[in-house]
Amino acid sequence: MAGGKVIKFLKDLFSSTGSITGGNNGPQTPGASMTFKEGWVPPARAGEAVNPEADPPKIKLRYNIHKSIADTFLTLAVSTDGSDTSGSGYDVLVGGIGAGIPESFINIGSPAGSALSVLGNTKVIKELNQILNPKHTYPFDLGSSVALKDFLANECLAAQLMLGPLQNGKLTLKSWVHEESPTITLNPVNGQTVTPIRLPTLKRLNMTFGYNPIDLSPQFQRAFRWLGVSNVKPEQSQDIRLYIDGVTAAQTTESSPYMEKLIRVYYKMFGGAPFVYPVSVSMEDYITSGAEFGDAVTWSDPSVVTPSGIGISGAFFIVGVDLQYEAGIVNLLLLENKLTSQAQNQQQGFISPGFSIDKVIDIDSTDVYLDLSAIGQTSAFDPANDWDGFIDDMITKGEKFQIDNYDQAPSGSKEIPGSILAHCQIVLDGTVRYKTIGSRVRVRVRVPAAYHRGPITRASDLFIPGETNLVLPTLQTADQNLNSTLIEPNSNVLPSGQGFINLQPPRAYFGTNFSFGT
Amino acid sequence: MTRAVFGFCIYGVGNPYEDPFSPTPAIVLYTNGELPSTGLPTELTNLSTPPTVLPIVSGLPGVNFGASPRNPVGSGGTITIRLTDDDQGKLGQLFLTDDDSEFWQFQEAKLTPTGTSIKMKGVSQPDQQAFYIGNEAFFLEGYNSSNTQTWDLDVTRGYFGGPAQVRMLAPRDYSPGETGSGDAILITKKPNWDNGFYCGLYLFILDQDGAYVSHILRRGVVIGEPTPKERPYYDIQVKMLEDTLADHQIGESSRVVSLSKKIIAESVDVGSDGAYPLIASLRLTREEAETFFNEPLHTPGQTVIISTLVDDLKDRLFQDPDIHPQIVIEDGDTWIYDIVNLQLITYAGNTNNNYIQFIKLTLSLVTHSEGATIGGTS
Repeated sequence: MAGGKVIKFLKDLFSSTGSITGGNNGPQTPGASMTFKEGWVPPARAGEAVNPEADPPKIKLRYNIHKSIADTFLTLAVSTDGSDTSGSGYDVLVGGIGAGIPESFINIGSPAGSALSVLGNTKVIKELNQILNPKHTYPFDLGSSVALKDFLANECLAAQLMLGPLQNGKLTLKSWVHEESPTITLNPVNGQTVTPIRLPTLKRLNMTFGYNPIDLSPQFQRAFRWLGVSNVKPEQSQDIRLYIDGVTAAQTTESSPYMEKLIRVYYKMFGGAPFVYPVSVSMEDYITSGAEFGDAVTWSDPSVVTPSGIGISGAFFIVGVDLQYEAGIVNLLLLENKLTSQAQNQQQGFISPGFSIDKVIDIDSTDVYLDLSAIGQTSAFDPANDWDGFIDDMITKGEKFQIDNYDQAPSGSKEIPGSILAHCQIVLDGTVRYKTIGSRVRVRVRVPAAYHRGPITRASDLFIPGETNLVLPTLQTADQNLNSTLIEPNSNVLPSGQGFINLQPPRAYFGTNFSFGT
Repeated sequence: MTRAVFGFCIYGVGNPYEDPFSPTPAIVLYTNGELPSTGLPTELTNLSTPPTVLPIVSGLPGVNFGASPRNPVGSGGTITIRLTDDDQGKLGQLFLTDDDSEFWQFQEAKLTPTGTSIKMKGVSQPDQQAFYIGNEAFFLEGYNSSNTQTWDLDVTRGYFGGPAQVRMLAPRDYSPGETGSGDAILITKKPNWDNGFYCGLYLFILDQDGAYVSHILRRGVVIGEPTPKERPYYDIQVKMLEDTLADHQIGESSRVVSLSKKIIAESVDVGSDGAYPLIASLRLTREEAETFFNEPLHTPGQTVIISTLVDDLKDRLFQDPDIHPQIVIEDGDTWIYDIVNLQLITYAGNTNNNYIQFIKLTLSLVTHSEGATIGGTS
């Protein structure tokens, strides 16, 4: 339509009956102005004669809200009539579109003096707003009812937030991808038996973005499927709608905060049908500890059954709070927190140094001997210096490698829930048979019996030579951390000698090479 | 040695054991044990009056909250609180309403949270007592009779606790054909439980001397009228606040307005692919405009559009530069326009005493289902 000729059409339309005066001051003395005749003029035929017999159109109202998720949440939650009586700037939607929740019932708070001083685990929504992603355009079609839940759930998924109540009764948003410091140590009540509850695994992320300006439907879709995974069931798939346009989504740098981070986070947390653990604490402990939903906690139980054997200890976060007033206890639901451990300070998804497993030298019920090749290493591998001496440190200091392959079988063709490979550890110690052969590194890998369900009888129980890779995440510097949306600005730098090895099934390498399609 | 006491309060509902004509504004705390009324959190002190503690909770509910990163909007569900009535049936006298309950009609289009003067209409002279508009309690401090069956009231807001909020007509809730006095909000002497009173569930921690130490709190909304159960009990259903928020519906089907006789199109862009109205105007009758925006533009009992209400609506509609109201027109094709102005137009009909009013919306084309756009927006 560019360059089209603009003509004034009023003269033709407003032609006969009545006279119009402007103004908002009630009945006025009619003035000499344009006259009009009534009748619906279909816009596409605006240049044609008025057709009073035409069917009248239907109209409906909609809003485009261009705000951050936190601001949008507050606007939708507290708006009553748009009069912004409190002056907070959130009651700005007219007509009861908002839920009208009193502002005092929501943990709005105040912004911090500087965004850099905001901790990623804040529960103050105005602080959270300072460190969340920038504004998006959220279109709301008011002609059809949409449950606020559906919108909030999507936005919380996209921004890795949870919505819930605090101990003071106020609702808030809480990020679950940021490190807590310090974490709270739970003191469970005595004698309880913790029975893990299996969550559905996640194998695919379905992302939609952009929107059709006519009907507001998404315009683009991208499915991210874990490589080597097929036959994804609906419950193993997560839909997330991103309110970004298609052009932005196609640009790696712009899409990175959304897509790469989202994929990493969801893969990390839900790739292997994780367990949640119902843990009871006394009401008094719950209150005095200040633990609330979304908080990172540490917890250990030597008797709980896990996919890795008996006993568990580590970092979790609270995803459920069940107040049993009469019993005086609080049942907390804990999800293992694979994001806020120090090892997560490393960025998965980057192109990482890694090993490929060339050969299984020997195997018994607990130990496995492997030949590894350093991927991309053309010269002799130097364990003392390459990768900041990572391997040497792990060996000489007796540190442990963590395998996280989320129950995916080494073959990569299917998933075996409860696979022995879930979350087991590889131990390198000073007694390993270790030598370099050109670019190869031969190490003894021991899988402690407590961390798998049964004896390892075949090499394929663990690895497929020539296909299985051990991928080392890239170590991050403090500056890199600052630039990372996954890590909060003030997170700790990765301590030397600690880290993850992510054992990925063949064709499931999870780096910058994504799987597109379904 | 500490101990815990459970407390339940319905913000905005009074004390069943007080004289309704001289109630204190105190928040009523129903508990399952003795609790000092002093030293409690200040949020329970209403209008400088400490809470009234009534230890009549029998049985304690559990309160769940569950969420997960894959289901991030947590749910608290619905719970039941059980209270014990006395042998006089005082709870029932407060909680239970009947069709004969006296009521008046709110004769204002809108009352701000700080407004303390309201006009009401009813068949009887108002008593100086507490009354309810929506989920808020008011106390009548005095009144003047303006004309037959209409009174101007001076009130205290937020009387039994609870937030004072905007009280206004909701045109989307009008009965079909209601455009006059029937649009009014009812003022009742007893709580109207359809309005969803907010409530709080407290767990107070007390020290060995029974003094308040700390508490935790969950909030919810009372669902429906309390139900008498196996006398002397009353069960009160509470929906937790997060569920109330999550279940809120954005948008209502009633906001789709089918126009009668309207004119649209002012400035037209004639291009190679047809003529498209760049700037259009739309006339809405009062009823259509009120339904469309779900905002009252008139005083109950009258039909004239109040210009100040139109100004107010316009100000609020365009106050936030990050919020853009749009209109969708469907006549076979779909047209999307930005609303760029809202104006009350008044003109004379064929007789000088017959003024006609309408709301004029000025619109700017955003896009059209056949692809017409302005300014490259898509």
